Amino acid sequence: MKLETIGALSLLGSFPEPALVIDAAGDIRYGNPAAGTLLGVDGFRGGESITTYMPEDERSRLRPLEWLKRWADVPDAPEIRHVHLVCRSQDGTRIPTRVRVGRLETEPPHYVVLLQDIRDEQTRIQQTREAHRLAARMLAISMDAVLAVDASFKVIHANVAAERLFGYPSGGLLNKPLNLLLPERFRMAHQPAIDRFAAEPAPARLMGERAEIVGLTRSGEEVPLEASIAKITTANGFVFTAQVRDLRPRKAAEATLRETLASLRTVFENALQAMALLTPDGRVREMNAAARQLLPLDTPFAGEAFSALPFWSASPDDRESFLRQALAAAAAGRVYRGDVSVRLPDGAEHTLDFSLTPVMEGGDVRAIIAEARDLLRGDA
Amino acid sequence: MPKIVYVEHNGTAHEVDVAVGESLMQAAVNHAIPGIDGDCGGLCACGTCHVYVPAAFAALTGTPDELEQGMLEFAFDTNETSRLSCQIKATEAMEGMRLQLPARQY
Repeated sequence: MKLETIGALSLLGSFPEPALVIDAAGDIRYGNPAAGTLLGVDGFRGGESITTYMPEDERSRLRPLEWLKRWADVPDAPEIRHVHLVCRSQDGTRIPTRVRVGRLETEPPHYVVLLQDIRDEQTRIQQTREAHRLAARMLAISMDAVLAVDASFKVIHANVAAERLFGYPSGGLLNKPLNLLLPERFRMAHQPAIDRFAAEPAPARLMGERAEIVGLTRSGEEVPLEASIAKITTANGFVFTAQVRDLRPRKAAEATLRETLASLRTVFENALQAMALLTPDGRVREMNAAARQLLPLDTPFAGEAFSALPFWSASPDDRESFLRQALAAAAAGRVYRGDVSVRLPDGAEHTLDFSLTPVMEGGDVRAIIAEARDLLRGDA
Repeated sequence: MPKIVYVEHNGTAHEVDVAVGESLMQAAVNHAIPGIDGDCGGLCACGTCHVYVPAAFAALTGTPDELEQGMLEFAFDTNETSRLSCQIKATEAMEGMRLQLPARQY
């Protein structure tokens, strides 16, 4: 059958997709109006090679006619989904095009070449790819462990931090059941908790809104963790994601801080010397046990002006002026030391060896330490 | 686990521990290395995992077969050191190999 007699050309003429008919040598015998629009030509003269409509560099790089023949012979070739040829329209525009080829049973044989402009598709793919890559890079460098599990509680994503936290090699958590990361005794209780979360309207629960949880590493070690979780509805059901933070460093820091505080408090409270911690403007923050014993007060002292406390024995004007000078010296960064008189609750007047020491930080006074020893008492 | 370095066209280097037997494309995709797409998932049917193998490692990575050679036609800016990384499986001997990536994959 001759090409002209099979009626294919009138069929292709009304076809909305760009289509060319070429002979075995690759010369164009027919192009439908849609192909003319795509390639920017007003009708095909016939006889020019299909490669005329490819940019120079594409022609020199690959063997277009051999690929067209392969795709005619192997319509389900795996690469057809992934590769494309680049067309060049009359004005020089490069148009990435997915190509399908069909053989026409003419004598000699001809081929129908269907062209699909994939510029929009490529832009979409590119944008999706970049969005994925951005998310993936962020997950990869995250300090927090990030896990995602599907509706059957199999791990579908674990970032590097998650693998490191739980002690698994690269890719080692994929498809593993979530239960593997929980100590045995929590496994039963975890499922209903997730079911409740799945049923509630909140899309996420953040860190701090949840009690501390415990994880299990590959080596069997239990790790205190804090997690924020989110749920995402997908075509295949819920996906749960968890951002998990190892609480060990924070707990260790807290323990160190507690121990340090306890040591300092022990020294402060057990010192023989009466001590008070004052703010830079001379208000009492704390008085230690020796101070509370030496100068028993029946009113609260925290936050009061040190100079206004009732035990000073000089006339109010004198002590105001003396203490103001002493505090001013301390607040300016100088140590004050001298004897002062106080009246004890039994009415006796005692002379104290008294000092005000400024605590400096970066040139500023952060606090003032008041210290006193009762000069009349042999044991102090 | 050999360390493979993927060097983007702009010079950014990514060091990745690759399991022995894993394809160099898969390892790059798992670590979201920009510059390697691997659209077909390793079937040697897309040409989007194109890398340049340094000459010193050419003997270890072998030569492309006919199928790979064909797909390399679709890759951008190929030369005689071009390979599709889905067709190279990591071995211990590849420790420290620096793969250069092309400016784009299509």
